[in-house]
Amino acid sequence: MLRANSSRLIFELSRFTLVEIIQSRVFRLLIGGSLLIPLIAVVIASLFMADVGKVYLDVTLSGAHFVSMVFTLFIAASLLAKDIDQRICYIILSAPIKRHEYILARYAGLSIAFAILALTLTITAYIGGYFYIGTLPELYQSGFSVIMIPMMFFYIFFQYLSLISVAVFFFSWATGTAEILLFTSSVILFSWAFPPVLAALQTEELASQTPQFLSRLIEVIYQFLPHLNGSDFALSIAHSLHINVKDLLLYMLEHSAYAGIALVLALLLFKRRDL
Amino acid sequence: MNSFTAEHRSPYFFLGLFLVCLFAARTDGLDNRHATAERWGSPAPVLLDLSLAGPLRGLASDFDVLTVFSIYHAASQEQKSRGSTELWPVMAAYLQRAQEMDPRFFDVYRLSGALLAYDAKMPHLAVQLLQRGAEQLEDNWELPFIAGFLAYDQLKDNSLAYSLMKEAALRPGTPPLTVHLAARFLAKDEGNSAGIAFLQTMIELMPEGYHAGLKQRISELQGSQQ
Repeated sequence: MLRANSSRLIFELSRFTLVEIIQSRVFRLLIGGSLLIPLIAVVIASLFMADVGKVYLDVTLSGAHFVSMVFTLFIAASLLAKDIDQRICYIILSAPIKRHEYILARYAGLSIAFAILALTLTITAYIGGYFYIGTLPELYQSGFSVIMIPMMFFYIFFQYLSLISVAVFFFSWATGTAEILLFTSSVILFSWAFPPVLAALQTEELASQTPQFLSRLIEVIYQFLPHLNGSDFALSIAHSLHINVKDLLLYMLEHSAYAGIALVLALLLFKRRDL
Repeated sequence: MNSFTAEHRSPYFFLGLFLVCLFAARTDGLDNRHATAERWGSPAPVLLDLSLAGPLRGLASDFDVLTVFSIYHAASQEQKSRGSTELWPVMAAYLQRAQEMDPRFFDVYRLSGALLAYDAKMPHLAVQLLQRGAEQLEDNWELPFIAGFLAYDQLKDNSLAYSLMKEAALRPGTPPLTVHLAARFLAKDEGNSAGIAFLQTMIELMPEGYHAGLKQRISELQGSQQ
């Protein structure tokens, strides 16, 4: 009985979160932007000689990253920060809602809203790819396959589920907007820039010039971050290369586990937080 | 009627003033679209580029290739008007960078085989880039084929040409021409006609704006044949 009631509360609060996001102007702008991304991709791709399909996927993927990053920072992190700054969480928690229900419901609502955004991007990119790249001669398609479009958004979706969980983790102990935005954007920045640095540190020339403790430090920090470059999927997708199922499953597992860990830590910290 | 006072007019006055200033600055100031050798310079260090690109290495490579198009256009103009240009090494640097960012990007190799080898007269670098590409794209016969032809036609290195052409001939989907050329390079025999055939194939693959260097080489080969 208690479990059913708890599930209902989480469902209601996540629905409330979803409605709150859908009604926000930024989200509507992002939906509008996601309609424009394939159009921009078509314009840029048409500037190229032959690898038009590859460029289309590159630009669409970049647009998807941009939209997802805006969602993470200006919708997910901002919504959570607003809960603290405007004391909304105090109002919600004064109702018979437990702290863990509150965290889980907020995360579920954010994830569903992000799924809606990702689905919109997938559909518009699919239409653009099907009607523009699909009709080009084979030389210009450069092995383009429309199946890569859902694959691309699948790739983006899991990465940003991790990053949204990072925002929730910071929310569980941060004191306000500035902290949540600063820490979340730092995690995005480091996750973005670290993999090439680590790859470069593996070359003999650079490894011999870099102090070992520094290499170890970067490696350790990187293990705490979500891996945005996971298995170089982005390039494989852009070239419509076959991705094996094992890699795909491990990639899903990595990001789901990361999101899970961040959420559990958030629950533990938020439970002890003095509100 | 008189409600449109000085207080109301002043924002419009300043808006107009700033618009005029902006227009004047943009008309007489530097314009990034009209780049010169000094303006382009070399690309940023590779590690910085890779860090900035993050998971978007493909897009970074696309923009490098777009820069190559712009440099090619400017270099051709400069070559026509002044008889020489310093932009070819800059174009080569951007092609190398595009290859480093996305080694599977085929446009990079098309441009290397045509513009870098013939227009920029940097066949050594073109062959190097194509060889690196051939290592990455193990199932592709076109890259060792183009590299092999350039080694024969531009570097006059028959043994390298033969080994590259042989590599192309061993890859899946290769046309009989590669085997034929490999045999010819090995025998160092009748290079010109094979060269013309190859260049004509390249012309079919390249857009019209990039035909100049290839056509010039065809006429050179035809001239020496007669």
